[in-house]
Amino acid sequence: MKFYYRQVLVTILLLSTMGRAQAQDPTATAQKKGYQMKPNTKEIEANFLSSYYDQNGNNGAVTGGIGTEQLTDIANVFIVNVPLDSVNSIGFYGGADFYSSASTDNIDNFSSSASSNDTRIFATVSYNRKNLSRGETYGIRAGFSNEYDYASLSAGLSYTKEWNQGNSEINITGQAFFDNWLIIYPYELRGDVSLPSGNRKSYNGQVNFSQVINKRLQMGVSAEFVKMTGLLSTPFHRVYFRDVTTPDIERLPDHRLKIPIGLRLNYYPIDFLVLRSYYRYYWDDFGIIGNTVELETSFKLSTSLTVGPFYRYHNQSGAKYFAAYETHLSSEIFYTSDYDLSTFDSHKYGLTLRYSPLFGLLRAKKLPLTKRSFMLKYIETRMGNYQRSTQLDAYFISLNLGMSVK
Amino acid sequence: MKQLLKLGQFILFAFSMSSCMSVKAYQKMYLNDAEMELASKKIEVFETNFATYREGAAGANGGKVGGGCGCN
Repeated sequence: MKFYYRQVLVTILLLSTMGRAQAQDPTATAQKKGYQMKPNTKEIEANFLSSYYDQNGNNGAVTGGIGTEQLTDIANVFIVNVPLDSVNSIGFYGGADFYSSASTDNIDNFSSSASSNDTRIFATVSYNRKNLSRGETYGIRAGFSNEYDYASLSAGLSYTKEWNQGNSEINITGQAFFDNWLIIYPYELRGDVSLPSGNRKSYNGQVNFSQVINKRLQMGVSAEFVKMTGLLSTPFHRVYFRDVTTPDIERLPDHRLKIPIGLRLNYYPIDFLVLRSYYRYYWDDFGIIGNTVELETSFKLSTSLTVGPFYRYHNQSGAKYFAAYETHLSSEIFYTSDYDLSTFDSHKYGLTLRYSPLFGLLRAKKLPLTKRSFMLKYIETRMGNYQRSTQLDAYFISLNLGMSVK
Repeated sequence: MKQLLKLGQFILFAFSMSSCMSVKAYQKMYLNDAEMELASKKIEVFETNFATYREGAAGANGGKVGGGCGCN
């Protein structure tokens, strides 16, 4: 405990150093008086994103850590940001996932279950207001998602402050999720098992800080605090024991605390190359500690074409409640055989292609009922492969169409 | 937790060293490039989601860390 006091003291000293560095810079103070954050432009920006994802493995949690993990998912997302005037804007983020899962099909071994094919729809609406002279932005958002056996409502607030000529920025976001399960038990256990409630609540607090270091280098730090309560296990996941023949459903504590901290550093060393790097440290009270590193190099082959190979490495220690098929003892209080919570490392690699001609790919002047013009600004695609040391293998391809209306 | 605190201190130290830097708006040609955005790219949203589902560790990159089933 003594150690933590020392750590906290050093942290406070560093924070005070940061404050002094800002306060003692007269140039920055003088520039600040003549600086105003950028107002909204009249341009409506929109993105249509689509993705195909396919995975396979042999550690399905529905069948107690053995059996197929086959899953195919087609997802579509539409994002739009509409400036109402120079300071007010509204945003929309929504879409739908269509998935088929051989794994969830095994909830019922005798007939195809409802969850084997499902659609998830989701949407979030946000409103942002800028205070240009103070360099502040205030935001509010609300959203929902719904699938056959799961519904979620969310609400959040955000505050952003930029200073130092827009070279420093802090963003604070708070969000709450209120979820509800339609509880579906494995077929053969229906009537023998029960859970007290299908409710789950999550509270997220997030602080993002970004800093321009020089004309070609900038960095960002993101820290989150996530508190989850309620039903955190998945009711149709089975667990098989080594001391009894009858399986049970997955049992996990009704609260979980997660703390991820991310560090991002982007560098533009030469005119045709951008280096993007990211590191994340993760800790939670289920016992998972994770480290994630991601690197992407974007080569600008011409003024309009960018090619970016990327690589991501992740490792994690498993949750203390995890054990493989027929390894748990029935006397334990909490247990899971979900390999997503196991010890593993994973590798992801692939390629991003972006084509963004200076005057767009497609233009339509004077849209009907308005004098505005439409432009398809760029097209981007990303494909890759994901491999986990538990033998799960996946590949994906995604598409992004960037559009604007002026 | 000990590692978390150490990482937090390193980050604060890094920012305390760089907090005086000031690049003017007209000097931000490179910083304003789409590839330099200090967040996951929009097209990465799907990967962030499946990483959230397939890895117990998630968050601090703009992805979903609460809400939604993530069980498929």
